[in-house]
Amino acid sequence: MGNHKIIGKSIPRVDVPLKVTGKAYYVDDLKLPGMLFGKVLRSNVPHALIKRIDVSEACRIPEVKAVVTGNEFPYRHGLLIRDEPFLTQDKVRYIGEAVAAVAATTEEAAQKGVDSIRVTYEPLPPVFDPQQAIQPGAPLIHEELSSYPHSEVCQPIPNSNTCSHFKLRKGDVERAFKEADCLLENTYATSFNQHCALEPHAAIALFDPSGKITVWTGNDGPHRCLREIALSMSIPFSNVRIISAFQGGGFGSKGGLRAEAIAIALASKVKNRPVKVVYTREEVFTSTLLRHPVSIRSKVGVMKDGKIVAKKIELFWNTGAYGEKGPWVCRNASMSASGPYNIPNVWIDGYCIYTNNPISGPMRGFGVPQVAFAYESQMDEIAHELKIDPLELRLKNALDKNDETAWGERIVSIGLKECLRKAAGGLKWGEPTKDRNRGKGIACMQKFTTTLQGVTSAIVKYNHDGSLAILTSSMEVGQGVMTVLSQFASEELNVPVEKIRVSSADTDYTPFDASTTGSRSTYHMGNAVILACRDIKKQAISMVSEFLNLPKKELKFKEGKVVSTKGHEISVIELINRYYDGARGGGGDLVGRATFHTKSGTGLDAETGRGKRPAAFWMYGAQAVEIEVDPDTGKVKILRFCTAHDVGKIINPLSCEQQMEGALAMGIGFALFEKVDIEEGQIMNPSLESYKIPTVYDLPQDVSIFFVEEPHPEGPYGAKGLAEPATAPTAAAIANALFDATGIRIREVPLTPEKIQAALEKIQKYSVDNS
Amino acid sequence: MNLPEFEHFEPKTLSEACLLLKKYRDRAKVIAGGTDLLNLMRNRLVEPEYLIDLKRISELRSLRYDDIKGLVMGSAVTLSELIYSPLIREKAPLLVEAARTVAAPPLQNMATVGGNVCLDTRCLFYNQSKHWRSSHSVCFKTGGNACHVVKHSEGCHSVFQADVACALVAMNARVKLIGESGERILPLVEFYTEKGENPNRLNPTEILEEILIPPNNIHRRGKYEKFSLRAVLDFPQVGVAALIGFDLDGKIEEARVVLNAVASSPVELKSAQAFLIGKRLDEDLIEKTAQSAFEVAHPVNNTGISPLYRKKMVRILVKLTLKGLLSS
Amino acid sequence: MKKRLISLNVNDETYEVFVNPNTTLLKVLREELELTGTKRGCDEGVCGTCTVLIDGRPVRSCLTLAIEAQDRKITTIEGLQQEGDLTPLQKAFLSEGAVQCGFCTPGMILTAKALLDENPSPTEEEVLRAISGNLCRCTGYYKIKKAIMKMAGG
Repeated sequence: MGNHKIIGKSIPRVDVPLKVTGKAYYVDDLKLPGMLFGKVLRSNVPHALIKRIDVSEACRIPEVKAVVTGNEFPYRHGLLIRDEPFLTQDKVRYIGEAVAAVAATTEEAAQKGVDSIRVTYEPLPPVFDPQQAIQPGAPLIHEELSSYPHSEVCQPIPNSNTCSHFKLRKGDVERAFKEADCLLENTYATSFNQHCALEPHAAIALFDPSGKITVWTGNDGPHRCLREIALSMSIPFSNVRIISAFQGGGFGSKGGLRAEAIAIALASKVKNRPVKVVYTREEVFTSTLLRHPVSIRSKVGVMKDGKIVAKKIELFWNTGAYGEKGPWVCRNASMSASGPYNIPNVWIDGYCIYTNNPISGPMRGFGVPQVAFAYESQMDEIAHELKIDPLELRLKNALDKNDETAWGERIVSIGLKECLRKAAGGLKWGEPTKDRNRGKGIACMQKFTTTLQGVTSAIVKYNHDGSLAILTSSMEVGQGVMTVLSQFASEELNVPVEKIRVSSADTDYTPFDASTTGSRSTYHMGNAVILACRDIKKQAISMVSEFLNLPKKELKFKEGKVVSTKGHEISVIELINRYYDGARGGGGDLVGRATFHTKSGTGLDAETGRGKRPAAFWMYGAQAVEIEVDPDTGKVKILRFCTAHDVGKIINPLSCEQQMEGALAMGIGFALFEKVDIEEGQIMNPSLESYKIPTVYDLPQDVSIFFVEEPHPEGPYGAKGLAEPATAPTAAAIANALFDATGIRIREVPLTPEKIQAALEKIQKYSVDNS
Repeated sequence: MNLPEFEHFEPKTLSEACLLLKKYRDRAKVIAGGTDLLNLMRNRLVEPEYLIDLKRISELRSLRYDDIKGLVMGSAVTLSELIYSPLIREKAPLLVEAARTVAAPPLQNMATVGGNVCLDTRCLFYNQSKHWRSSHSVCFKTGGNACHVVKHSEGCHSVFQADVACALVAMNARVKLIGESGERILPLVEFYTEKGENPNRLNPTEILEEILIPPNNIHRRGKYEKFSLRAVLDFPQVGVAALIGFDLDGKIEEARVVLNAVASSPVELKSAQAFLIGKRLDEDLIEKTAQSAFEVAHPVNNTGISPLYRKKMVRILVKLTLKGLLSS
Repeated sequence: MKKRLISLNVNDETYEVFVNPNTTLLKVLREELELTGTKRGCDEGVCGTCTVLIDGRPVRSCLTLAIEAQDRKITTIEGLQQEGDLTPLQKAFLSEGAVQCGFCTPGMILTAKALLDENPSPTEEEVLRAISGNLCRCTGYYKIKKAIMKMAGG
């Protein structure tokens, strides 16, 4: 790939000096003059009409400066489907929904105000199970579903609880099933999870006298956030400004309007004073987002040599009370639910279903951890049925470059088989385990980043002294984007990283970016920055061509200077001074700009789910684990963990490792520990004590990370994305290892000790209760 | 969530503290580490008007041993002080083992042994914010007349989950209380009421002053095993403390096996204790004890894991604990 | 409820603040003293982002009343830097890639500092135990462990 000066090097992250000294500001660290504090009154019933809200007592508290309800702020937001009120108006649809909000000079007074508000509810019959919610006669959660504006990604069924129905049709599955040697039909299920970013959601909003709304937030898509606000309130985009703080993790929960919605509603009432809303940990659980639980019914037809010929899949996504990004998660994950395999006949129905539960939304993997659990568990069930080695079965069916996928895309770059081999090799696949309670399992995955979600622009300023400023709306959420963007610019313009500064996002100054989601920033913003740097080079050459009176083709930008075939060497400072007469008075700069988007991106056909290029790029990975099961307790100990991912091109090895390690921790949480318990619409464990994210002791110490670099033709230096994929294969790899160890197959996550112990008891191989 | 309003006192002596408590009675609560109390207050489960801080009372922070009284621990000794005390490591290693399982080291730096003994019982429906609880009627423990876990129950089933306290019961500990009626000393096991509503017998004017562990010349081995989903931070789903004393022939001379997290108080396996005496600790005896434990454990569905599974883990854990004593 | 004037020793400086009895140390540090490096993650003592050192030992400032912290030596993340330079421990976190979103970082670094001050050569197990009470959602703890072991001369 050529020798690069800084691409491929583990340079220290540029944001970290602020973070290790406590000087990185997150929203709750910001203090603004005149700032008020906002608190929220939330519903304690899952489905009810609001008969009356009495805020009179709250209004009498001297420190309270504003009380607002949905009647006074009657807007709804939602970019895929505009179904969610800022504050509820006529009815509540989940426990934890915002009913009213109070702004006061102290948090305590705001809370006192909230506690004094009286709401009269008239309960409505709730529905919690998606498969019940789609039955005729089920209580309707959104009676006005057909009136909501929605994007093409969302395909609601009017007069139902189906927020969106995704279909994929390829070939003839029924005929293929008849011709198959072997048929398997299994149902898999996943649970509610919560992102548990350590920083709770927070936002500050200000309506100033000029009519502008400014929001300080850690939202992962500042321009998208702006758009959502402006569209929901029918105001010009220029009236909204989003200023970003560092984000203390989000993992998908900090998109959309969460704390922002409350802060804006309060600020609109209180005018000219900033209002800060910081969620409690309980509110983060109940009133932000949860990972969708999915029930997946998968029927597969296989030939006896292991070739998969048909898959028919039905997925029921429990999207909770409002759509948020549910339709998108349902679409993207359902579309890829047949797995990274070459299957000629595929029939998929993905239903994104409203229920009276808290809102489900994207969580690291965007639905892929759930579908990968299903398709990779099923691969092993096929392997067992046909007595084929699970690794061999996968290699036999895996997609290759130029293959056509289930949705009609031609694969451009894929390192899947190498990932499988590396992960398996790291685990010494094929060598039996030493103990009868031990087992090995392997799993892989595919995930994409969407083409059609908005462009990505960057501005690079070349200062008079040769230092650079990168203006970008990419969010530093912990993934290290600021650092890789510095590396791209450094490589392109030959400026040392120490002389490059990357801005935070401020929609008044940093140009449009769709969002910092979907593992898209290295690729999209990386390309934008590179192109902006090339724009600078082009301008420089053009300027030198003019004042030296030389044809452009004789000029080259080399190592920070414009050089000519005749031996001229013009530095940037010199070129600015010579080109601009006024520059010598005090300087100038070169401003490079670019907008990047993947060309020829397509959507998916509404009836067949097919499209030639829905993805900017695909990410592939594989994991192999060796586990030990305690036959008495059912506890799983991960002895060795091998993870391999195709990243296209490693830009910063240290950052890549960081993503792999963090992702596997979340994958293990998903597989073994994490479940939001919901009873009658109420979260029973809305705390970090009762919801179990892994501590340092709960993770394996023997971890091997492998990278595969299968370059993408349009990626910056060939890079793809990495942040999410490594969270997806883990659950199936562990479930498969569990089967290898004990012969039990559990089709539900989390694979709790309770479930495992019960299954072990059932097969009576390990009898615990002899009486 | 913020704390409710209160006035705060920092008495320098025990008698000062007692006078304050006598004056304010059930409008006051004592606070030592605060790791349990402050969360209860945040949730508005308790709202004392007065907090009496015990941390400046030096008598409550002492650790001493003499051959007559045995080990005397001031109630405000922190769990970290316990864990790192050479005296405790020598005289009561079982306590060190139990203390190390509580929460995590930073919390052990704050939490006290007295706080653990007086740890409020817990329940999924109880340890929740005021807003959360407003979705349900008032339960027994919060002054109502319903149990949301065991329907049609006549009382509260909140669960006892204090690790160090369980180990102390196995060590035959006693507690010294001091209040307006003077001092009283009672066996720790009698300090607990077995009733979730009011798990211990402290009256509103009393402070837990000391925990006493009798001196003993019998060769004893102790073990505490805790079952929880994660390796740190979690309260026990099941816990077992065992202390066995062996005579010179290796036969059991004294036995205490105590279950944690299966009821509203620690549960002593009295019948098992009876049949253990005079025998050698072997696989059969361990199996029998485990079965006996399984039979007396009646956990309910208030910790997030099914009661049946926890019951099964009682058996596993008793075996593990006793096997651990065999090999030590 | 009566406010009181209390004196707090934070990072070797004395501050006089007026607080209510029910004000936590966390709140005073962040809002009165504007030392926002200590974070508010859960307000119930579980996550560890509120960790400060009191007399050299890590504690949860969200479970410490401000008035309880008088006459004690309090160290926050801001107290580590010497004349603007990163300390070797902070540099290790930087070089080993132990920081991603950074929210757990101040608490982690203080916990690590407390360990290393008491035990300059901890074993890997001792490091794990020390940080076991600090949650991290981004890193899987691997490089945090590595950074601390690097300081341990390991």
